[in-house]
Amino acid sequence: MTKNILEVHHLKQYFPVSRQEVVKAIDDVSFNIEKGETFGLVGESGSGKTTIGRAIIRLHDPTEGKVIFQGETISGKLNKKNQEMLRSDMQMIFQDPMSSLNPRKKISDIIKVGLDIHRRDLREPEKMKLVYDVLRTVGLDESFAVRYPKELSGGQRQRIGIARAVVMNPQLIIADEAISALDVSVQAQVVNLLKQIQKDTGSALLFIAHDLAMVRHISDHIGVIHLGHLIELGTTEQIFENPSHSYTKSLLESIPVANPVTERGKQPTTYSATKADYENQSMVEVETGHWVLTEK
Amino acid sequence: MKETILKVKNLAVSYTTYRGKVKSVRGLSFKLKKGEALALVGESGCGKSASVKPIMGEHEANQVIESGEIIFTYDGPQGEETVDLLKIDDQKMQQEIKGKQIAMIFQDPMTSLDPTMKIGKQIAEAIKTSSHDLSSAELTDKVRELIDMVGIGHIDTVMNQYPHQLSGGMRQRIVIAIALSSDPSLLICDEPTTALDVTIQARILNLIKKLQRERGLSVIFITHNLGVVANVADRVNVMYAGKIIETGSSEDIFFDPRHPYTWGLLSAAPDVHDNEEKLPTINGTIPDLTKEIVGDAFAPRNPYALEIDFKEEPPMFSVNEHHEAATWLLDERAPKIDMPELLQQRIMRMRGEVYD
Amino acid sequence: MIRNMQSTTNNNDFSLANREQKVDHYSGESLSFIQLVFRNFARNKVALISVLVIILIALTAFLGPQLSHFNPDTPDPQNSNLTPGQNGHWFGTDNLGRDIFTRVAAGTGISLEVAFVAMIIDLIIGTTYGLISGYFGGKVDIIMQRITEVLSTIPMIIIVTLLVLVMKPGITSIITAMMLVGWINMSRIVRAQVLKIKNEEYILAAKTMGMPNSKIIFSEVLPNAMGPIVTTFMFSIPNAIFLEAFLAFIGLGVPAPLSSLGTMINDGYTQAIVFPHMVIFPVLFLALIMLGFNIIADAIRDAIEES
Repeated sequence: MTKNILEVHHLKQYFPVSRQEVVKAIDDVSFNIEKGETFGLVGESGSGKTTIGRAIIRLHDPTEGKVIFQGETISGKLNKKNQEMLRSDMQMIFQDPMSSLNPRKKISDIIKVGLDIHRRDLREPEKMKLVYDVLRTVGLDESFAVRYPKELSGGQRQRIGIARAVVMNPQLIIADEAISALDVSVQAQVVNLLKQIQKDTGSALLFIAHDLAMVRHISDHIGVIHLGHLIELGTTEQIFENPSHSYTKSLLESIPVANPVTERGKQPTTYSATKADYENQSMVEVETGHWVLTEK
Repeated sequence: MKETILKVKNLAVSYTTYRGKVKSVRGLSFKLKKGEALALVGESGCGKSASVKPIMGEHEANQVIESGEIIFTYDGPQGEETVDLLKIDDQKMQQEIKGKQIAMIFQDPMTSLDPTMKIGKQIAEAIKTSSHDLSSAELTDKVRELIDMVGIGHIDTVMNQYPHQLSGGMRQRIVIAIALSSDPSLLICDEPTTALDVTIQARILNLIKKLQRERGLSVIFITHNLGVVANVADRVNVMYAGKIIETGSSEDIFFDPRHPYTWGLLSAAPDVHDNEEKLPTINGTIPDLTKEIVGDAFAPRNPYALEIDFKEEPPMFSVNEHHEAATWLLDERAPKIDMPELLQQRIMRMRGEVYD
Repeated sequence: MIRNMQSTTNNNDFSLANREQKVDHYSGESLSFIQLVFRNFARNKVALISVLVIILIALTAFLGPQLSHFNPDTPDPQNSNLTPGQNGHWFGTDNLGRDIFTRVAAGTGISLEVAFVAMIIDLIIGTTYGLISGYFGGKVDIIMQRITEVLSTIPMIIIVTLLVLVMKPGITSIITAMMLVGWINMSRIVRAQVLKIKNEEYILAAKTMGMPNSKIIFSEVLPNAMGPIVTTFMFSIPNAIFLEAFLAFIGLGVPAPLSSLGTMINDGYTQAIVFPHMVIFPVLFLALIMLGFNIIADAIRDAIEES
């Protein structure tokens, strides 16, 4: 029995833009997520990190490569059993708390969606009990069940998004930029909540973000994505204490710090690379579990 | 002493909604000096944007200016002029101030760019609205000068491109170029780098600082990112529920914060050096601004709230000549309460870095 | 006031309060989208008056013929060309002696019926077409869009005229003709909405939870497209009424002796100088209906936008 809940092997996701051209949104990305751990995926916008999450959860059909979730292959054609397993055991939290909740539905109906689809064995009062329980878990009381999304603050909405995922008791939660649209104080609440839920339920978390300080705080392992390529992979300590790739270094140096004196004197870093630069490179292990994309 | 170019006095703005009147800005006063960069910091809904809209002369249908003055001093066609932006007529606002003396940059550069027009033409159009009688050669020179000024190297290529062909950072540079085309004295930046990546954010901030220095530009930054504030601001106003609750120089706010809300904001942002299991948070949500607020608006969320916070609103207590905070903790009768341990350690470490 | 408050402060006030709340509570009323739209609509006085006018006209149309003992379709040569008020004819009579009030009432009824039936069928066809075309996209969308493009290049009036000519003139053929072309506009509006909505994260969320497409379309997409659909529907009613009147006016309307506003205007306008009442009343009714529906549609759009 493997300790990995998710394995991603040589995942490629190309999107055709015309008959001749394709955009290589993700090119040959491989990583594993262990049971119960948090894997942070960082990169700038447009780097392909969101596409990776969406390819794993099958909002896209991967062009090439293999994704194995709980020992079952979930890339390619899905049989009914695996479809059911994927849709209930893997859940996603979205970026924009404004658009991730259907504005015409009540909060209780939004949270119940997954239960309505996958838990036909439950009767309505049992479902409502689960809804109230999960609302408590995310720090909201029963009064929210009958509200509409627009009546909630951004942070409260994001907690509803989390409740909708958590109510299914998933084995893997993909949080796609789940905090980037929130205020600093609310980001901390949401991150604490995710950590707490993980501790209580033992689910694994794929945390996709561009805020390195938050990713460092929450992750056990980190993958750095640039231009659709995974350029560095390692434990949080390896990435932050001993970054190997110059792109990772430039990212780390650019993190703004709440220190006016050092910030004022800071010079922006310069790093430039193109997709072509990465295409002929491959991952090399520089120390145990620490991989870097370099020339062959 | 530098001259003051903008003075906001006791500004109160509300919005009428179906739920009642939302008192978004409840008595805001601050000053901005020439060449100074001021940051307005706070959570969304604290009235940051609502307090800046009247400065830009933006009237929304349900916006009501309850009280206040916005005194703006600028070099007009008839020499130096001082006007109250809330009282001058629309025509003067349009012709001399909005987009001329006061320019604005938004979070999403695409909202300020015309997707169907080439970059060069867009900048030229912007120049034409402020300087009317330029020959076409002079105009092209000015366009090139502006593009060069915002740090774009390949001027000729960019001039012939459309906004969608540029990256987010490049677009924001173009927006800055357009904002500067009228040679404004005040630049308002509303979350200008929130949509950008850290590496690009650092470059854009650097550009704005450079322009501020070189042109003696006054800048108002609206942001919730404290790292950004530390990078650009000379002065910081921390806002909560439509009021300024702490104001001071950057050093005051980051190294000697006094208001529990400022403590909360500073500690909630994780530092790459911290190793806390749980991030400190500010519990609860911002108060309902349709209701009358009794006492300190922050009291219900404040773990250090005193009984008096629920009864009476704290006045501004002075910490030093440029640092004030509205919290009863600064009253001599209050118990001595220190900022959270984590924050203390962080500030100690940061000061250590600085004074090593 | 301030001094007063200061005097009530005591040392106890400067002790820690410890009233932190751990769980958020939402107090205050909660309104669904529909309730909000109604509330905003109700604030628009002109729209409320329009609703009242339309209700009155509809009541006149369906109850009017019963209120009067005259039959709208029976000629009465003794009483032809009466002016309003004569011999108990409120709106007078036409050149065949038929009572204009009952004819206007009955005609309005037919006009409303034709417009409503045609538009409801349009609503169903157009919405379904737009939903499918927009949601599934790709090849399905391309083929469906080509079909509507071809259809919309043929001028609507020609299709309608030809159809009414080919089929037996009557209510059914007019409805069929209007139905055939009317749904295109609706399908376009719906498709545009769906294209916008289907990329919203709540649709993605529904997909990641394994919600079947049919359910996504009906429970996630459709309710969010309802605003523009209702607005388009409301705006298309006056258009349909006008189209019906226009067809009747050029002689392709309901066959005699049935009356519709269009046929009455057609009958009356030749004698408008001598007997203006024959044309004034149907025109007045037509104008009121058109104006009323347009104002209501406008108000609904505003109400939806504000909500």
